[in-house]
Amino acid sequence: MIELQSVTKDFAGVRAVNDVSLTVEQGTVAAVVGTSGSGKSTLLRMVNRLIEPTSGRILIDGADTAGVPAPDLRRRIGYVIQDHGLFPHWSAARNIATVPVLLRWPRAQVRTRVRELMEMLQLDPDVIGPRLPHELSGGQAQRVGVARALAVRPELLLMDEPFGALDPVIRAQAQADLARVQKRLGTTVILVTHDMAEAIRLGDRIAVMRAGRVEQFAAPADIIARPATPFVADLLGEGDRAFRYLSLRPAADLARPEGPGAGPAAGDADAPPLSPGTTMAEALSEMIWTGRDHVRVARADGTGGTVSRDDLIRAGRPE
Amino acid sequence: MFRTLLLSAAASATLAFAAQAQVVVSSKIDTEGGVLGNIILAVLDNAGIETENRVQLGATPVVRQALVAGEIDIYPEYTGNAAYFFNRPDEPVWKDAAAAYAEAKKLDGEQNKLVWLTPAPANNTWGVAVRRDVAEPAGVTTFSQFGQWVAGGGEVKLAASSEFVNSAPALPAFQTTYGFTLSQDQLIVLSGGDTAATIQAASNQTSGANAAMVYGTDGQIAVSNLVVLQDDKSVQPVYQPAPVIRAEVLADHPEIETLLKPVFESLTLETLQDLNGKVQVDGLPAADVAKEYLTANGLLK
Amino acid sequence: MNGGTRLLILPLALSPLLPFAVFRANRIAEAEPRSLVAALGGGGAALAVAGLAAMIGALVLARRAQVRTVVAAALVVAILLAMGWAAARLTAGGPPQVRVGPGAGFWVALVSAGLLVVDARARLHPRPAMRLAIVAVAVAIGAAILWSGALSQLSIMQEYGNRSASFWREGARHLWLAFGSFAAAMLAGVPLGIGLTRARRASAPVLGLLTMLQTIPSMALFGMLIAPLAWIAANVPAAHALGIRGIGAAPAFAALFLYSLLPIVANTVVGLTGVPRSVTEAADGMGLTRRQRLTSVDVPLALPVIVSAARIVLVQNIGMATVGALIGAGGFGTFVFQGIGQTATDLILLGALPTVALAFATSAVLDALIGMLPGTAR
Repeated sequence: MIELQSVTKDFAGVRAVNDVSLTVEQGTVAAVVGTSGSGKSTLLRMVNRLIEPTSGRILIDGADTAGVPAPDLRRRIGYVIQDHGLFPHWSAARNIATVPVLLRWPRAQVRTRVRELMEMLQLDPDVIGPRLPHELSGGQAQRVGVARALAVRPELLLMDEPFGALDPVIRAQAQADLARVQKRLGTTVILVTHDMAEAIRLGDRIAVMRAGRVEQFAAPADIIARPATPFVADLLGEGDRAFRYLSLRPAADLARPEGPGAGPAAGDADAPPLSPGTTMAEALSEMIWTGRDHVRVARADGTGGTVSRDDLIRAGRPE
Repeated sequence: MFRTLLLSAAASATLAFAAQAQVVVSSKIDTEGGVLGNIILAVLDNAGIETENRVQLGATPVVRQALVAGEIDIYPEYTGNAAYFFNRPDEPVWKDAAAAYAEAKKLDGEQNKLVWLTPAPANNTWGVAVRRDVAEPAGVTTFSQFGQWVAGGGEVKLAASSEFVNSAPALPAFQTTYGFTLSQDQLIVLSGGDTAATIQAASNQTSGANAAMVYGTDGQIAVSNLVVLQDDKSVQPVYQPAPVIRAEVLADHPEIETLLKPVFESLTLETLQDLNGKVQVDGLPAADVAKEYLTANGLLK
Repeated sequence: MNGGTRLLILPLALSPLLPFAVFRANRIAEAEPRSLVAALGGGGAALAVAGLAAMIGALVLARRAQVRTVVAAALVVAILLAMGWAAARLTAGGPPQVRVGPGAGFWVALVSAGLLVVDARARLHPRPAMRLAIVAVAVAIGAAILWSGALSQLSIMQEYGNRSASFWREGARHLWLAFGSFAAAMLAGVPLGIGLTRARRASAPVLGLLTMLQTIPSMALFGMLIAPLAWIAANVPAAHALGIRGIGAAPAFAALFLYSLLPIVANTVVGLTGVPRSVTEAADGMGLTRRQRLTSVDVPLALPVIVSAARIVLVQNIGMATVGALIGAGGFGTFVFQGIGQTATDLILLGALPTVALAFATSAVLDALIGMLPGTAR
């Protein structure tokens, strides 16, 4: 559990972060959203003490971070930044091994760990491992950066615009990979982004920052349903609200069982079902595009179902 | 790396200590410096005095500064140069051999605790040399005779640097004192030319040259068959080479004075020309030339 | 065959028409030209011309750069050996003062052939390790020719023969001056550069001071250091015991050291500030301590820039160390300045040629090393 208690940072008389208090539960993802200059990066960098707070405390599992030498603290906390920051003179594998080597792990253990991480992030250790950063694609470099941050299985992972440098297709893939890895490892994540869609997609809770203050800290559904301030609403974009809300849940939640006589005919019964992970927003988009009023979705348990347009439209409005 | 540095520092420290007891023999970097420095070195070595060889150390200011600072102990210097060391270049005293030597010895003894030992009877001063096949028939060995001969229509063509031709204490002073005038046709001005170039011109009779600006003991003079005109009315300062030694070192090794006296007395203008020539023209090492000369003349025991 | 080759073949082919050697009655007498026939004899000249024609043919016809490199290199060696032979023939039976040196024909042929080697080698695009090997082979061939005595009657080698002992002594001094002051400047300059990246306010004045030092003419700086060092030597016994003196190696070493500082410090600063911000940020975020970041990230990444400064400094020091001879530091400059004093060109060359060769070899080796550094993508 990470607790920020009345954290404030002044830079030469300018208040960058103003009395921020928030708690991030173990194993959850907290997304910090805001425009540039809102203080979100500063807030993140105070957690691993790249920046020291002017006042306030930051506790990890109840222990004040100020009580630990900064390098020791940072080795326990994963850190991923926008331009991946890989060391250009080291191979991908050596980059991933950075913190284990700092902690003087035995060589064999370092090697095993690097392989394990690369496989988890779908990087072939024998092919990608020996490459230098300039020989990697953007997506590969980003994944190496994540692997490096996770090398000693930190309980906390800090990510500062980790997908900012990726093109949209690769970004979506990288976001999905992160969600998968985070679930598997149960790591607590604080993610800074300027992209509300990304925050909604990845965050268990979202902190919206403006001018150094947190305007709202709540679950995505709450943020969308009940934006606390006009700024939060602005950030959500009024025209997109319903779609954002629908993007939070899988379409399968609304599926009715299929079968003879169960509901009206789907029209195109032989069209392949949508995949289990499809969100309600995607399902509605599919219907609008294909002109149908029903789509079939597959469920994780292998059964199928049908989702109607009316159900989707109803679900797009918070009660 | 660091250890190597320390070791070499320690090594040079011990060297420096060992050097304390030795007489540091030095000289200027030019040809004559090589010959005279090696002569002094060979004589001291032969007498069993421990020496350190710093011969041909550098240019005049460097060697002079080193001697005054006590970093070297002995080197050959020209009497005329004392005029510049003591910043009195315009006084007539430097134009008389004996007076110049006495003055240099007195000033350095009083001010710098340096002792000028017996000088060589050779004057390495700025002057003119004439082709032997011209000088001998005309009976010219001194500037006075040269002046009369030129004034009387003697055919001369002098190769010289523009500095020699134009600067007041050089050719103009010779002309005034010895009563002759060289017309533009009788001059070959090699701008920026050194004595090597002028001697070569006279030697090869380039553009009809038959006389050259020289320094008295230039090594090329003998082989080029030139005769140096004697400055019999003392237009130029006298530049006699003499060993200059620190008084403190001379007190420790008083025999140096008597060891070097006969050696330097033997070094006449022609001898020095010959020795310099062996180095400059024949390309022999100065140390070999020095030793050979000393041995051949029974100056080494 | 390419444009470069064609351009060089013509002077090479015409070079036998120029005097191959020059003859001097003594080392400072006027040079008299000697034709190829006079230098090598009728048979020798015919052989030389035939050999030259064959090699030109091979160079024109050869398609592969490797072949042309080897042929051109062989041509260089042949020209050198022919010169040695000519010198031996022309000095034979004469008085010992006689000197034979290279003439215009030799120089034209040698420079053309040398440029052909460079041109062909450049087309090989050798990797850094290969470049090192080429330097090593060139040095080995040069040494073998000199060692064999084939050139011993050549004027410059006669100068060497008269001074073989002092040549190596001055050479060792030269190396010590150039490389020692370089090493000291690296030991001082790199930390100073690192310090300046941390104390940025000091950066401008320090670099300004070093730039000012750089603009002092070398002879003036050498001379300026004599007085203070002599004073130190006279008044600080420890300094005196360390071998510090107003004349000799100390002021030369100090001057070269001071000249070396600017490129090293400036390039260290440039190299370190050129490390991408994201990289330093990541290093800090990973928990590297300041020292760890410096040694394992900042300095390695700045290394190519620092090593190119090292190359500049070494080449500069090797050249400038010659001036040290004027203040008693020794080195190859001793021969240069003695040669100037004696107007003996060959003696000047005896000091100048090894200096140039040393600078070339050092530059080539460091160039190759820069290419071998990790992170320098080619």
